[in-house]
Amino acid sequence: MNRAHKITITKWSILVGAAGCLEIIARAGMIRRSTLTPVSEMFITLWKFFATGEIPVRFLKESSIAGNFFITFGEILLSFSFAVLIGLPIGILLWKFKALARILNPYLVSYYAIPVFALYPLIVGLFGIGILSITFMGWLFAIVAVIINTATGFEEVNKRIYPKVGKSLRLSRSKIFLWIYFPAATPYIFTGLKLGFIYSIIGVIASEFILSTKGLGYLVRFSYSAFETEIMYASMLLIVIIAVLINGALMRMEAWVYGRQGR
Amino acid sequence: MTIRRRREILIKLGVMAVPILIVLLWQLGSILWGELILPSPLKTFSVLKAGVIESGWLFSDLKDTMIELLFGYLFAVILGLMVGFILGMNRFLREVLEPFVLNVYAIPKVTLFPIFLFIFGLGMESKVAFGFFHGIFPITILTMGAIKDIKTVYVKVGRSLRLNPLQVYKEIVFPSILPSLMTGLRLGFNLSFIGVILGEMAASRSGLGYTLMKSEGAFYMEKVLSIVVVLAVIAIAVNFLYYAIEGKLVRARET
Repeated sequence: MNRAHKITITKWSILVGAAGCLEIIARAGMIRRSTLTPVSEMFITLWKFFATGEIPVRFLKESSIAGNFFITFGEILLSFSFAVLIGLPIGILLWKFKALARILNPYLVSYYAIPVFALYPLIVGLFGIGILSITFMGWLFAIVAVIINTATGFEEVNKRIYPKVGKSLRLSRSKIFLWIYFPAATPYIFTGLKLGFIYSIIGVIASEFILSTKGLGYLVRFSYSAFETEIMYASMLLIVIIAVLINGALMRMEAWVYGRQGR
Repeated sequence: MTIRRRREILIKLGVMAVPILIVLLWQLGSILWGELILPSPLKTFSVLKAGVIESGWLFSDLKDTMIELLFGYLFAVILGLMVGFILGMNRFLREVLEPFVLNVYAIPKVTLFPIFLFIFGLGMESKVAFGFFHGIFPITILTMGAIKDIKTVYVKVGRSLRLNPLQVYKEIVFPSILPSLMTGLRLGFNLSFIGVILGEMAASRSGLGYTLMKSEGAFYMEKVLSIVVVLAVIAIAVNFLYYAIEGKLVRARET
Protein backbone atom coordinates (compact mmCIF):
# COMPACT_ATOMS: atom_id res chain seq x y z
CA MET A 1 0.00 0.00 0.00
CA ASN A 2 1.54 3.30 -0.99
CA ARG A 3 1.39 6.62 0.78
CA ALA A 4 -1.40 8.17 -1.29
CA HIS A 5 -3.63 5.17 -0.67
CA LYS A 6 -2.93 5.30 3.03
CA ILE A 7 -3.91 8.98 3.15
CA THR A 8 -7.11 8.42 1.19
CA ILE A 9 -8.10 5.48 3.37
CA THR A 10 -7.41 7.41 6.59
CA LYS A 11 -9.40 10.40 5.30
CA TRP A 12 -12.44 8.29 4.52
CA SER A 13 -12.21 6.27 7.72
CA ILE A 14 -12.28 9.52 9.73
CA LEU A 15 -15.35 10.69 7.82
CA VAL A 16 -17.16 7.35 8.02
CA GLY A 17 -16.09 6.86 11.65
CA ALA A 18 -17.45 10.25 12.68
CA ALA A 19 -20.72 9.59 10.85
CA GLY A 20 -20.91 6.15 12.46
CA CYS A 21 -20.38 7.58 15.95
CA LEU A 22 -23.17 10.11 15.41
CA GLU A 23 -25.39 7.36 14.06
CA ILE A 24 -24.84 5.17 17.13
CA ILE A 25 -25.28 8.06 19.56
CA ALA A 26 -28.57 9.01 17.93
CA ARG A 27 -29.86 5.43 17.57
CA ALA A 28 -28.97 4.53 21.15
CA GLY A 29 -31.01 7.47 22.32
CA MET A 30 -28.07 9.17 24.07
CA ILE A 31 -29.21 12.38 22.41
CA ARG A 32 -32.89 13.01 21.80
CA ARG A 33 -34.28 12.72 18.27
CA SER A 34 -35.44 16.33 18.49
CA THR A 35 -31.77 17.34 18.75
CA LEU A 36 -29.94 14.84 16.58
CA THR A 37 -31.19 12.56 13.84
CA PRO A 38 -29.14 9.52 12.80
CA VAL A 39 -26.89 10.26 9.83
CA SER A 40 -28.52 7.55 7.73
CA GLU A 41 -31.88 9.25 8.20
CA MET A 42 -30.43 12.60 7.13
CA PHE A 43 -29.51 11.00 3.82
CA ILE A 44 -32.88 9.28 3.52
CA THR A 45 -34.74 12.53 4.18
CA LEU A 46 -32.53 14.29 1.66
CA TRP A 47 -33.24 11.54 -0.84
CA LYS A 48 -36.97 11.99 -0.25
CA PHE A 49 -36.62 15.72 -1.02
CA PHE A 50 -35.43 14.83 -4.49
CA ALA A 51 -37.62 11.79 -5.01
CA THR A 52 -40.84 13.67 -4.26
CA GLY A 53 -39.57 17.13 -5.21
CA GLU A 54 -41.22 18.50 -2.10
CA ILE A 55 -40.02 19.51 1.34
CA PRO A 56 -42.53 18.10 3.80
CA VAL A 57 -42.85 21.02 6.20
CA ARG A 58 -46.10 22.79 6.91
CA PHE A 59 -46.44 26.52 6.27
CA LEU A 60 -43.30 26.69 4.16
CA LYS A 61 -43.84 29.33 1.50
CA GLU A 62 -41.70 27.68 -1.17
CA SER A 63 -41.98 23.95 -0.60
CA SER A 64 -40.56 22.53 -3.83
CA ILE A 65 -36.91 21.60 -3.62
CA ALA A 66 -36.27 22.77 -7.17
CA GLY A 67 -37.81 26.16 -6.37
CA ASN A 68 -35.54 26.73 -3.37
CA PHE A 69 -32.58 25.48 -5.32
CA PHE A 70 -33.16 27.82 -8.25
CA ILE A 71 -33.78 30.83 -6.03
CA THR A 72 -30.55 30.32 -4.09
CA PHE A 73 -28.47 29.57 -7.15
CA GLY A 74 -30.05 32.37 -9.11
CA GLU A 75 -29.03 34.77 -6.35
CA ILE A 76 -25.53 33.31 -6.17
CA LEU A 77 -24.98 33.47 -9.93
CA LEU A 78 -26.45 36.95 -10.19
CA SER A 79 -24.35 38.34 -7.35
CA PHE A 80 -21.23 36.63 -8.67
CA SER A 81 -21.81 37.89 -12.22
CA PHE A 82 -22.18 41.45 -11.02
CA ALA A 83 -19.10 41.07 -8.81
CA VAL A 84 -17.13 40.01 -11.90
CA LEU A 85 -18.67 42.55 -14.29
CA ILE A 86 -17.91 45.43 -11.94
CA GLY A 87 -14.92 44.01 -10.06
CA LEU A 88 -12.76 43.13 -13.06
CA PRO A 89 -12.85 46.63 -14.64
CA ILE A 90 -12.20 48.25 -11.25
CA GLY A 91 -9.25 45.90 -10.72
CA ILE A 92 -7.84 46.87 -14.13
CA LEU A 93 -8.45 50.54 -13.35
CA LEU A 94 -6.51 50.22 -10.09
CA TRP A 95 -3.63 48.65 -11.97
CA LYS A 96 -3.64 51.37 -14.64
CA PHE A 97 -3.85 54.25 -12.19
CA LYS A 98 -1.28 53.68 -9.46
CA ALA A 99 -2.30 56.76 -7.49
CA LEU A 100 -5.90 55.53 -7.27
CA ALA A 101 -4.66 52.12 -6.15
CA ARG A 102 -2.57 53.66 -3.40
CA ILE A 103 -5.46 55.79 -2.21
CA LEU A 104 -7.90 52.87 -2.05
CA ASN A 105 -5.49 50.18 -0.89
CA PRO A 106 -5.75 50.73 2.90
CA TYR A 107 -9.53 50.46 2.60
CA LEU A 108 -9.52 47.43 0.32
CA VAL A 109 -7.23 45.39 2.55
CA SER A 110 -9.29 46.14 5.67
CA TYR A 111 -12.62 45.61 3.88
CA TYR A 112 -13.06 42.02 5.01
CA ALA A 113 -12.37 43.03 8.60
CA ILE A 114 -15.75 44.71 8.81
CA PRO A 115 -18.59 42.28 9.53
CA VAL A 116 -20.35 43.04 6.24
CA PHE A 117 -23.45 41.12 7.34
CA ALA A 118 -24.18 43.88 9.83
CA LEU A 119 -25.23 45.92 6.78
CA TYR A 120 -27.94 43.40 5.91
CA PRO A 121 -30.69 44.96 8.08
CA LEU A 122 -29.93 48.30 6.43
CA ILE A 123 -30.05 46.76 2.96
CA VAL A 124 -33.37 45.13 3.83
CA GLY A 125 -34.59 48.55 4.89
CA LEU A 126 -33.56 49.96 1.52
CA PHE A 127 -34.59 47.16 -0.86
CA GLY A 128 -37.03 45.09 1.18
CA ILE A 129 -36.85 41.38 2.03
CA GLY A 130 -36.23 39.38 -1.12
CA ILE A 131 -33.99 38.48 -4.00
CA LEU A 132 -32.66 42.00 -4.51
CA SER A 133 -31.35 42.41 -0.95
CA ILE A 134 -29.83 38.94 -0.81
CA THR A 135 -28.15 39.30 -4.21
CA PHE A 136 -26.78 42.65 -3.08
CA MET A 137 -25.26 41.03 0.03
CA GLY A 138 -23.64 38.28 -2.04
CA TRP A 139 -22.27 40.92 -4.39
CA LEU A 140 -21.00 43.07 -1.52
CA PHE A 141 -19.18 40.10 -0.02
CA ALA A 142 -17.66 38.90 -3.31
CA ILE A 143 -16.62 42.00 -5.22
CA VAL A 144 -13.57 43.10 -3.24
CA ALA A 145 -11.91 39.69 -3.58
CA VAL A 146 -12.29 40.01 -7.36
CA ILE A 147 -10.93 43.59 -7.37
CA ILE A 148 -7.88 42.84 -5.21
CA ASN A 149 -6.85 39.70 -7.09
CA THR A 150 -7.32 41.28 -10.53
CA ALA A 151 -5.18 44.27 -9.62
CA THR A 152 -2.47 42.06 -8.08
CA GLY A 153 -2.56 39.76 -11.10
CA PHE A 154 -1.82 42.50 -13.62
CA GLU A 155 0.73 44.05 -11.29
CA GLU A 156 2.61 40.74 -11.14
CA VAL A 157 2.85 40.64 -14.95
CA ASN A 158 4.65 44.00 -14.84
CA LYS A 159 7.44 42.35 -12.90
CA ARG A 160 8.06 39.83 -15.66
CA ILE A 161 9.70 40.14 -19.05
CA TYR A 162 6.61 39.51 -21.22
CA PRO A 163 5.47 43.14 -21.59
CA LYS A 164 8.95 44.12 -22.76
CA VAL A 165 8.84 41.41 -25.40
CA GLY A 166 5.54 42.83 -26.58
CA LYS A 167 7.01 46.31 -26.79
CA SER A 168 10.05 45.17 -28.70
CA LEU A 169 7.71 43.48 -31.17
CA ARG A 170 5.99 46.87 -31.52
CA LEU A 171 2.58 45.55 -30.61
CA SER A 172 -0.10 48.15 -30.04
CA ARG A 173 -1.14 48.81 -26.44
CA SER A 174 -4.45 47.05 -26.83
CA LYS A 175 -2.74 44.01 -28.31
CA ILE A 176 -0.20 43.93 -25.50
CA PHE A 177 -3.07 44.00 -23.05
CA LEU A 178 -5.11 41.35 -24.82
CA TRP A 179 -2.33 38.95 -25.80
CA ILE A 180 0.20 39.42 -23.03
CA TYR A 181 -1.21 40.90 -19.85
CA PHE A 182 -4.53 39.14 -19.87
CA PRO A 183 -3.27 35.56 -20.39
CA ALA A 184 -0.36 36.07 -17.99
CA ALA A 185 -2.63 37.42 -15.27
CA THR A 186 -5.24 34.68 -15.70
CA PRO A 187 -4.19 32.49 -12.75
CA TYR A 188 -4.42 35.41 -10.31
CA ILE A 189 -7.71 36.52 -11.76
CA PHE A 190 -8.98 32.98 -11.43
CA THR A 191 -8.05 32.92 -7.75
CA GLY A 192 -10.08 36.10 -7.38
CA LEU A 193 -13.02 34.52 -9.19
CA LYS A 194 -12.79 31.39 -7.06
CA LEU A 195 -12.82 33.40 -3.84
CA GLY A 196 -15.56 35.61 -5.26
CA PHE A 197 -17.76 32.62 -6.02
CA ILE A 198 -17.25 31.09 -2.57
CA TYR A 199 -17.96 34.46 -0.95
CA SER A 200 -21.10 34.82 -3.07
CA ILE A 201 -22.31 31.46 -1.79
CA ILE A 202 -21.55 32.39 1.82
CA GLY A 203 -23.08 35.86 1.48
CA VAL A 204 -26.27 34.61 -0.13
CA ILE A 205 -26.89 31.62 2.13
CA ALA A 206 -26.03 33.55 5.30
CA SER A 207 -28.43 36.36 4.31
CA GLU A 208 -31.14 33.82 3.56
CA PHE A 209 -30.54 32.28 6.96
CA ILE A 210 -30.75 35.57 8.85
CA LEU A 211 -33.77 37.12 7.18
CA SER A 212 -35.69 35.95 4.11
CA THR A 213 -38.70 33.94 3.00
CA LYS A 214 -37.24 31.49 0.47
CA GLY A 215 -34.09 29.60 -0.45
CA LEU A 216 -31.84 26.91 1.00
CA GLY A 217 -30.49 29.06 3.84
CA TYR A 218 -34.03 29.94 4.85
CA LEU A 219 -34.98 26.27 4.72
CA VAL A 220 -32.51 25.50 7.52
CA ARG A 221 -33.72 28.47 9.53
CA PHE A 222 -37.40 27.69 9.06
CA SER A 223 -37.13 23.99 9.89
CA TYR A 224 -35.09 24.90 12.98
CA SER A 225 -37.77 27.31 14.19
CA ALA A 226 -40.51 24.80 13.34
CA PHE A 227 -38.75 22.06 15.39
CA GLU A 228 -38.49 19.94 12.22
CA THR A 229 -35.07 18.58 13.16
CA GLU A 230 -34.97 15.92 10.47
CA ILE A 231 -35.68 18.40 7.69
CA MET A 232 -33.16 20.81 9.18
CA TYR A 233 -30.33 18.29 9.18
CA ALA A 234 -31.18 17.14 5.66
CA SER A 235 -31.08 20.75 4.40
CA MET A 236 -27.79 21.39 6.21
CA LEU A 237 -26.36 18.27 4.63
CA LEU A 238 -27.52 19.46 1.22
CA ILE A 239 -25.82 22.85 1.62
CA VAL A 240 -22.60 21.30 2.92
CA ILE A 241 -22.49 18.78 0.06
CA ILE A 242 -23.09 21.50 -2.55
CA ALA A 243 -20.43 23.79 -1.01
CA VAL A 244 -17.85 21.00 -0.79
CA LEU A 245 -18.49 19.88 -4.38
CA ILE A 246 -18.18 23.43 -5.71
CA ASN A 247 -15.09 24.11 -3.63
CA GLY A 248 -13.47 20.90 -4.87
CA ALA A 249 -14.25 21.70 -8.50
CA LEU A 250 -12.89 25.25 -8.14
CA MET A 251 -9.68 24.05 -6.48
CA ARG A 252 -9.14 21.53 -9.26
CA MET A 253 -9.75 24.18 -11.91
CA GLU A 254 -7.35 26.51 -10.14
CA ALA A 255 -4.63 23.86 -10.08
CA TRP A 256 -5.21 23.33 -13.80
CA VAL A 257 -4.98 27.05 -14.60
CA TYR A 258 -1.74 27.43 -12.65
CA GLY A 259 -0.31 24.21 -14.05
CA ARG A 260 -1.03 25.27 -17.62
CA GLN A 261 0.96 28.44 -17.10
CA GLY A 262 3.94 26.63 -15.68
CA ARG A 263 4.56 24.91 -18.99
CA MET B 1 8.67 71.08 -4.02
CA THR B 2 9.44 68.23 -6.37
CA ILE B 3 6.69 66.60 -8.40
CA ARG B 4 7.21 63.38 -6.55
CA ARG B 5 6.65 64.91 -3.12
CA ARG B 6 3.62 66.72 -4.41
CA ARG B 7 2.27 63.40 -5.62
CA GLU B 8 2.84 61.79 -2.23
CA ILE B 9 0.95 64.57 -0.49
CA LEU B 10 -1.92 64.28 -2.97
CA ILE B 11 -2.16 60.54 -2.33
CA LYS B 12 -2.19 61.12 1.46
CA LEU B 13 -4.97 63.66 0.97
CA GLY B 14 -6.81 61.17 -1.21
CA VAL B 15 -6.61 58.51 1.49
CA MET B 16 -8.09 60.94 3.98
CA ALA B 17 -10.78 62.03 1.51
CA VAL B 18 -12.29 58.55 1.16
CA PRO B 19 -14.16 58.55 4.51
CA ILE B 20 -15.42 62.06 3.76
CA LEU B 21 -16.65 60.84 0.38
CA ILE B 22 -18.45 57.93 2.05
CA VAL B 23 -20.21 60.28 4.48
CA LEU B 24 -21.19 62.55 1.58
CA LEU B 25 -22.61 59.61 -0.37
CA TRP B 26 -24.45 58.52 2.75
CA GLN B 27 -25.94 62.01 3.05
CA LEU B 28 -26.90 61.97 -0.61
CA GLY B 29 -28.53 58.55 -0.20
CA SER B 30 -30.48 59.76 2.79
CA ILE B 31 -31.83 62.65 0.73
CA LEU B 32 -32.76 60.28 -2.11
CA TRP B 33 -34.37 57.55 -0.01
CA GLY B 34 -35.64 59.83 2.72
CA GLU B 35 -34.61 60.09 6.36
CA LEU B 36 -37.06 57.39 7.40
CA ILE B 37 -35.35 54.62 5.45
CA LEU B 38 -31.79 55.92 5.43
CA PRO B 39 -31.21 58.42 8.24
CA SER B 40 -28.60 61.10 7.63
CA PRO B 41 -25.13 60.86 9.18
CA LEU B 42 -25.99 63.71 11.55
CA LYS B 43 -29.11 62.02 12.87
CA THR B 44 -27.29 58.72 13.24
CA PHE B 45 -24.51 60.32 15.23
CA SER B 46 -26.96 62.00 17.56
CA VAL B 47 -28.52 58.59 18.34
CA LEU B 48 -25.04 57.15 18.72
CA LYS B 49 -24.10 60.00 21.06
CA ALA B 50 -27.20 59.33 23.13
CA GLY B 51 -26.24 55.67 23.28
CA VAL B 52 -22.81 56.54 24.58
CA ILE B 53 -23.55 59.47 26.87
CA GLU B 54 -27.20 59.75 27.84
CA SER B 55 -29.11 56.47 27.87
CA GLY B 56 -26.07 54.24 27.49
CA TRP B 57 -27.98 51.59 25.49
CA LEU B 58 -24.81 50.88 23.61
CA PHE B 59 -22.69 49.71 26.52
CA SER B 60 -24.64 46.71 27.78
CA ASP B 61 -24.80 45.31 24.24
CA LEU B 62 -21.21 46.21 23.53
CA LYS B 63 -20.09 44.51 26.73
CA ASP B 64 -21.81 41.22 25.85
CA THR B 65 -20.52 41.23 22.28
CA MET B 66 -16.97 41.97 23.41
CA ILE B 67 -17.00 39.22 26.04
CA GLU B 68 -18.22 36.71 23.46
CA LEU B 69 -15.64 37.89 20.96
CA LEU B 70 -12.82 37.82 23.50
CA PHE B 71 -13.47 34.25 24.63
CA GLY B 72 -14.27 32.94 21.16
CA TYR B 73 -11.12 34.50 19.74
CA LEU B 74 -8.97 33.37 22.68
CA PHE B 75 -10.02 29.74 22.23
CA ALA B 76 -9.54 30.04 18.46
CA VAL B 77 -5.99 31.38 18.94
CA ILE B 78 -4.94 28.73 21.47
CA LEU B 79 -6.42 25.76 19.63
CA GLY B 80 -5.65 27.13 16.16
CA LEU B 81 -1.96 27.55 16.99
CA MET B 82 -1.79 24.10 18.56
CA VAL B 83 -3.50 22.31 15.70
CA GLY B 84 -1.55 24.37 13.15
CA PHE B 85 1.74 23.42 14.79
CA ILE B 86 0.88 19.73 14.91
CA LEU B 87 -0.31 19.65 11.29
CA GLY B 88 2.69 21.68 10.18
CA MET B 89 5.14 19.26 11.80
CA ASN B 90 3.48 16.00 10.80
CA ARG B 91 3.19 15.52 7.07
CA PHE B 92 0.91 12.50 7.21
CA LEU B 93 -1.60 14.15 9.54
CA ARG B 94 -1.47 17.30 7.43
CA GLU B 95 -2.26 15.49 4.21
CA VAL B 96 -5.11 13.65 5.89
CA LEU B 97 -6.72 16.62 7.61
CA GLU B 98 -5.96 19.50 5.21
CA PRO B 99 -8.95 18.79 2.91
CA PHE B 100 -11.28 18.82 5.92
CA VAL B 101 -9.90 22.14 7.13
CA LEU B 102 -10.01 23.76 3.68
CA ASN B 103 -13.54 22.55 2.96
CA VAL B 104 -15.02 23.65 6.27
CA TYR B 105 -13.39 27.02 5.63
CA ALA B 106 -15.37 27.33 2.37
CA ILE B 107 -18.84 26.21 3.50
CA PRO B 108 -21.38 28.80 4.67
CA LYS B 109 -20.88 28.03 8.34
CA VAL B 110 -23.93 30.00 9.41
CA THR B 111 -26.21 27.17 8.31
CA LEU B 112 -24.60 25.04 11.01
CA PHE B 113 -25.52 27.56 13.70
CA PRO B 114 -28.61 25.60 14.88
CA ILE B 115 -26.27 22.82 16.02
CA PHE B 116 -24.48 25.35 18.24
CA LEU B 117 -27.84 26.44 19.60
CA PHE B 118 -28.73 22.82 20.40
CA ILE B 119 -25.48 22.26 22.25
CA PHE B 120 -24.92 25.62 23.95
CA GLY B 121 -28.37 27.20 24.13
CA LEU B 122 -29.54 30.67 23.24
CA GLY B 123 -27.17 32.47 25.61
CA MET B 124 -23.68 33.82 25.16
CA GLU B 125 -22.01 30.41 25.12
CA SER B 126 -23.30 29.58 21.64
CA LYS B 127 -21.83 32.83 20.26
CA VAL B 128 -18.48 32.15 21.93
CA ALA B 129 -18.47 28.72 20.32
CA PHE B 130 -19.54 30.10 16.95
CA GLY B 131 -16.89 32.85 17.05
CA PHE B 132 -14.33 30.17 17.88
CA PHE B 133 -15.56 27.99 15.02
CA HIS B 134 -15.12 30.86 12.55
CA GLY B 135 -11.77 32.08 13.85
CA ILE B 136 -9.87 28.83 14.24
CA PHE B 137 -9.61 28.01 10.51
CA PRO B 138 -7.46 30.87 9.21
CA ILE B 139 -5.21 30.57 12.26
CA THR B 140 -4.76 26.83 11.72
CA ILE B 141 -4.27 27.14 7.96
CA LEU B 142 -1.67 29.93 8.15
CA THR B 143 0.24 28.42 11.09
CA MET B 144 0.32 25.07 9.32
CA GLY B 145 1.58 26.66 6.10
CA ALA B 146 4.23 28.68 7.92
CA ILE B 147 5.64 25.67 9.80
CA LYS B 148 5.60 23.60 6.62
CA ASP B 149 7.51 26.25 4.69
CA ILE B 150 10.37 26.72 7.16
CA LYS B 151 13.52 26.08 5.19
CA THR B 152 15.14 22.97 6.59
CA VAL B 153 18.48 24.51 5.68
CA TYR B 154 17.99 27.19 8.33
CA VAL B 155 17.28 24.60 11.01
CA LYS B 156 20.34 22.65 9.89
CA VAL B 157 22.51 25.77 10.08
CA GLY B 158 21.20 26.28 13.60
CA ARG B 159 22.09 22.71 14.54
CA SER B 160 25.55 23.02 13.04
CA LEU B 161 26.03 26.15 15.17
CA ARG B 162 25.24 23.87 18.10
CA LEU B 163 22.11 25.67 19.17
CA ASN B 164 20.00 23.65 21.56
CA PRO B 165 16.38 22.87 20.48
CA LEU B 166 15.04 25.80 22.52
CA GLN B 167 17.44 28.16 20.82
CA VAL B 168 16.56 26.73 17.41
CA TYR B 169 12.95 27.59 18.17
CA LYS B 170 13.69 31.05 19.49
CA GLU B 171 16.22 32.13 16.88
CA ILE B 172 15.09 30.30 13.74
CA VAL B 173 11.61 28.75 13.82
CA PHE B 174 9.76 31.53 15.60
CA PRO B 175 11.15 34.50 13.57
CA SER B 176 10.50 32.76 10.26
CA ILE B 177 6.87 31.92 11.01
CA LEU B 178 6.04 35.21 12.71
CA PRO B 179 4.72 37.15 9.67
CA SER B 180 2.29 34.38 8.64
CA LEU B 181 1.33 33.90 12.26
CA MET B 182 0.39 37.57 12.57
CA THR B 183 -1.68 37.41 9.37
CA GLY B 184 -3.41 34.32 10.69
CA LEU B 185 -4.19 35.99 14.00
CA ARG B 186 -5.58 39.06 12.23
CA LEU B 187 -7.78 37.06 9.85
CA GLY B 188 -8.84 34.86 12.76
CA PHE B 189 -9.97 37.93 14.65
CA ASN B 190 -11.95 39.18 11.66
CA LEU B 191 -13.72 35.87 11.24
CA SER B 192 -14.39 35.44 14.96
CA PHE B 193 -15.96 38.87 14.91
CA ILE B 194 -18.17 37.91 11.94
CA GLY B 195 -19.09 34.65 13.67
CA VAL B 196 -20.12 36.37 16.90
CA ILE B 197 -22.16 39.04 15.09
CA LEU B 198 -23.83 36.50 12.80
CA GLY B 199 -24.69 34.33 15.78
CA GLU B 200 -26.19 37.28 17.61
CA MET B 201 -28.15 38.31 14.53
CA ALA B 202 -29.49 34.80 13.99
CA ALA B 203 -30.63 33.95 17.51
CA SER B 204 -29.74 35.52 20.83
CA ARG B 205 -31.01 37.63 23.70
CA SER B 206 -28.36 40.34 23.88
CA GLY B 207 -25.43 41.90 22.06
CA LEU B 208 -24.96 44.36 19.21
CA GLY B 209 -26.08 41.84 16.56
CA TYR B 210 -29.27 41.17 18.49
CA THR B 211 -30.10 44.86 18.90
CA LEU B 212 -29.27 45.35 15.23
CA MET B 213 -31.96 42.88 14.17
CA LYS B 214 -34.41 44.13 16.79
CA SER B 215 -33.99 47.72 15.62
CA GLU B 216 -34.50 46.65 12.00
CA GLY B 217 -37.72 44.91 13.03
CA ALA B 218 -38.88 48.09 14.77
CA PHE B 219 -37.68 50.11 11.76
CA TYR B 220 -35.46 52.18 14.03
CA MET B 221 -32.90 52.78 11.28
CA GLU B 222 -30.84 55.35 13.23
CA LYS B 223 -29.99 52.62 15.70
CA VAL B 224 -29.21 50.13 12.92
CA LEU B 225 -26.77 52.57 11.36
CA SER B 226 -25.14 53.52 14.66
CA ILE B 227 -24.44 49.86 15.40
CA VAL B 228 -22.97 49.40 11.92
CA VAL B 229 -20.71 52.40 12.59
CA VAL B 230 -19.62 51.03 15.98
CA LEU B 231 -18.84 47.58 14.51
CA ALA B 232 -16.88 49.09 11.63
CA VAL B 233 -14.87 51.29 13.98
CA ILE B 234 -13.98 48.34 16.24
CA ALA B 235 -12.99 46.17 13.27
CA ILE B 236 -10.85 48.87 11.66
CA ALA B 237 -9.19 49.86 14.95
CA VAL B 238 -8.17 46.28 15.78
CA ASN B 239 -6.91 45.70 12.23
CA PHE B 240 -4.82 48.87 12.28
CA LEU B 241 -3.32 47.69 15.56
CA TYR B 242 -2.41 44.38 13.95
CA TYR B 243 -0.95 46.10 10.88
CA ALA B 244 1.12 48.34 13.14
CA ILE B 245 2.49 45.32 15.02
CA GLU B 246 3.17 43.50 11.73
CA GLY B 247 4.99 46.53 10.36
CA LYS B 248 7.08 46.83 13.50
CA LEU B 249 8.02 43.16 13.42
CA VAL B 250 9.06 43.37 9.78
CA ARG B 251 11.19 46.41 10.49
CA ALA B 252 12.72 44.75 13.55
CA ARG B 253 13.67 41.79 11.38
CA GLU B 254 15.30 43.94 8.75
CA THR B 255 17.60 45.79 11.11
